[in-house]
Amino acid sequence: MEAAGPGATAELPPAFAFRFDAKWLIIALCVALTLYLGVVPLAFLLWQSFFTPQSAAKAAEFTFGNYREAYGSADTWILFGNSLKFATGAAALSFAIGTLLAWMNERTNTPFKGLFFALSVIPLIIPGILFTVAWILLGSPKIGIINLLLQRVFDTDTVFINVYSLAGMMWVDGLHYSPVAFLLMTAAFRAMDPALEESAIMSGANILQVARRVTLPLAWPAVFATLLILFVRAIESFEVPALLGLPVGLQVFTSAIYQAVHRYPSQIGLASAYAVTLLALTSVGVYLQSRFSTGGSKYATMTGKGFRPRTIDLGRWRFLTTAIFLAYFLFIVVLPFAVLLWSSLQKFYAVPSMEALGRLTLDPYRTIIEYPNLLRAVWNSLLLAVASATIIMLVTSVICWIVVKTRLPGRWLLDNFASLPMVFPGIVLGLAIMILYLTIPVGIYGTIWIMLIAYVTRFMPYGLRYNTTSMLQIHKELEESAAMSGASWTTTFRRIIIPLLKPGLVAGWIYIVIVSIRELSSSILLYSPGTEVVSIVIWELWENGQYVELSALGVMFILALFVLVLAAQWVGRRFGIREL
Amino acid sequence: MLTVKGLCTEYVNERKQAIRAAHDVSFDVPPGKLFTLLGPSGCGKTTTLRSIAGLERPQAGEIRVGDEVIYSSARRIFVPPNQRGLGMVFQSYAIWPHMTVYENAAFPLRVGRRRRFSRREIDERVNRVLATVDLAELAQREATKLSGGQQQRLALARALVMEPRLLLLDEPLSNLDAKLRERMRFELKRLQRELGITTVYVTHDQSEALALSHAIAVMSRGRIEQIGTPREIYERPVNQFVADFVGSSNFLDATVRAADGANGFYRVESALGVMKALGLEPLQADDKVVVSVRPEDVHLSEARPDGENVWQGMVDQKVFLGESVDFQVVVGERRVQARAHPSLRTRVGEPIYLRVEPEKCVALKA
Repeated sequence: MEAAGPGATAELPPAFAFRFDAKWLIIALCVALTLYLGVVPLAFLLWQSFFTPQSAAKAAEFTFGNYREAYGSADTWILFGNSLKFATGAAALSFAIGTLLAWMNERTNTPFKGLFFALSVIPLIIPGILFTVAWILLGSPKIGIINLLLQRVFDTDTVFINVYSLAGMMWVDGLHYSPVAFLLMTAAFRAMDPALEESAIMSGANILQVARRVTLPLAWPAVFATLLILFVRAIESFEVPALLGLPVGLQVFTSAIYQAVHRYPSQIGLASAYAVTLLALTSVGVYLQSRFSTGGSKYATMTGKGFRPRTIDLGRWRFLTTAIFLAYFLFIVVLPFAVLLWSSLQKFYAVPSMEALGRLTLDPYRTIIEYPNLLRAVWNSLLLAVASATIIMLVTSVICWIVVKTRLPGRWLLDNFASLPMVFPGIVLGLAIMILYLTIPVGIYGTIWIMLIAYVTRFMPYGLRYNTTSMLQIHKELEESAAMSGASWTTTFRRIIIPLLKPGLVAGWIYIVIVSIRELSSSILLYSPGTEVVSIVIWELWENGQYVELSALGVMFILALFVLVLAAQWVGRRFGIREL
Repeated sequence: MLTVKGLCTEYVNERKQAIRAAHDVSFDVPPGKLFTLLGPSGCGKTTTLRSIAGLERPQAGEIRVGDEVIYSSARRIFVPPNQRGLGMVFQSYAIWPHMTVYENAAFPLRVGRRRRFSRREIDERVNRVLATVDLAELAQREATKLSGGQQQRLALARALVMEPRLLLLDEPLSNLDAKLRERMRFELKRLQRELGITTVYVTHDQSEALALSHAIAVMSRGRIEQIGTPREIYERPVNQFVADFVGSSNFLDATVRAADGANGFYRVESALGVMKALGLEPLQADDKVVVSVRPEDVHLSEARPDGENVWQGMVDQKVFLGESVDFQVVVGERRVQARAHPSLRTRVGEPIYLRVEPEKCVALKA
């Protein structure tokens, strides 16, 4: 082969050289949908942030006022500081917990660690709003069970813990998302070939030198990427700041956006200005993280060989690590679920006591089942989850085929557009879509369709990721041999690609169903009477102070999600999916 | 049967440079023959094969199968691969893991616009083709449960099931272990000869090419260097690249002194001294040439042999290979590679005589 110099014409892959057929229609539809969902809301959000509110009397005018108002006040800088502090603290906490647990699980001989790994995904099942409510019941200064218990033990009035504080917010949010850090760091530990460390030891390095010169440099990309993921996730977090921060006036960007919209008259311009700032923060985070992930490939230590896990014998210390596992599980699953269960069995909320034990009742369950909106909300949640998962997986399979399998110029752009919603915090996406469909009167504002659009947009990147992983494993010759057998593109896609993609399709579908059912932060700006989903009902119950009914619904919700995840894992094993 | 004319393919690499993968590639394959494209990786052989298949679109040239033009840049014809009706075996076999052996083989009969087969016809044809490749017993097995050799045969069955006009094979044996490769080589040859199916075969393995082909095209850097029968390619390479790539060779720089008789022999002067060599094209006195001598054509003996092209040297190294022994012999300043029968036991450091038949000394224009 020889270089004929730059500037020669690019060759179209033969897959694109055919005449018009059904293939083009499908591809064009999928591309158009992706571009529309990924780009249009963002554009509208930016546009809106430069205009004054539109009213019957006055048309919208171009202005920098929103930004001036947002950044002119000292409050915004406090807001900015709070957001950064909260996100950094929560990310650092999850990272510390997750890394410690991952290390204990992968590199030590702690008893029962296999069981622990199986249980580690359970905390992710509990929706954020329920986890937060549970921790309010545990750690509120007035009614928190932990405070009351400690006060009784030490016979004092001191408030031991207070979740209504920045530290409390970091604790609840960091704890809730520590399983994410655990899973990411477990992957990092597993990807590291012990032979790399062993050869350093054979070269005469001591344990410290090995850690400093081999282990850390190798792990650094994974550590940094994990921290960024956790930071971005924490800064997008809505439930914790809304429930714990707002009552004591501690605002972060997400809760400030919510308040700006819900003020009367709603200040959408101001909310947009906040949203754009938040978007800038998450974009930088996601950008850095993707840079690190790709840059990290040169550190890739995966060889495909089964590593013999080298574990450290902890001796008697292993009782301590077991205790840490137990304590962790207590804080993240047992206590939150137990407090919800307790409260769901009371007529009015009361802290546990012998007296209250005598008043156990199933009334809240009766009340909640007869709750007027519940049935409709459950139906809406299921409908939205199933519809968005199905649409996303099918559309992204086509997108992903274009990106992975063709040499179409500009395909990387398509990939980026489809991944764009990744940087949208849920509440920002909700705001953007709200503005968009308030402005273009196509009649879907206030219907369930607007929520479907939000869900499809928000979770599209997940679908893309699941499909890409599977798609990369499909050798291009499997497709080419179908073409050589005489199959058209649509036949090949239907009979070869889709069946081979099935593990990724099924896993992605299940994942999207689960995250859709728990979705709150986009829905909160988009729902109207009649289109509530389950998480919105929980939110409303909280606002109304119906704690026992909320707990009853929460207990049922968690159990249902748990069954769903078990079913998903069973299906996953059947289809040969290794992890969910 | 297959005619390729003036095929040129370029593509753009990551650095936006145009890479010329095939340049003015032309050849003819008569019906029923097995034609091999041989060359190192990146020589353009796979690109050429994929252009015939329609999986790649060349910039220029024309490809005809029988009377049908399937690609022509001048007439703007490009028949998509799924309508060319050619059979192809891929390097990875591309066996679909979600189907059984039977379903894999039946796929070409079930898709595509031109063919409509009844269930019985499909059954009949699939069973026949599976029997041909000796897989009839395993028809209902999952395709992923096959061994490497079985997968290879299934890929072949799938390519043959629609009775294509042309069979394309892309390094079909390269994923097999050495022993199996040897066996499949014979199997493939027998099948091709029996079915009489016109075949284009791509490989980088010269012994495979020599063993299987009716004709070979040796390719390098996107161009065809030489087309000929296996024997022509091996014994009369037209240049140093072909001589070197197809088997190993000793290359001696030499200068032509004079013609030696009228039948193409010349006296040339090389580092070994004056020798008699065969020129494939007319040479003039003082032409610079490279004389190619294959190791197995260097006869070694401890006693001085009679005849021309005899030199004395010293054994420098020996490598025992079982069926033969490779000798490195130093003659003057020059090191010569020779292959001998293991019965020759001359030790390292001892003197030895070399003799090469003049017709095995091929003088190539430098």
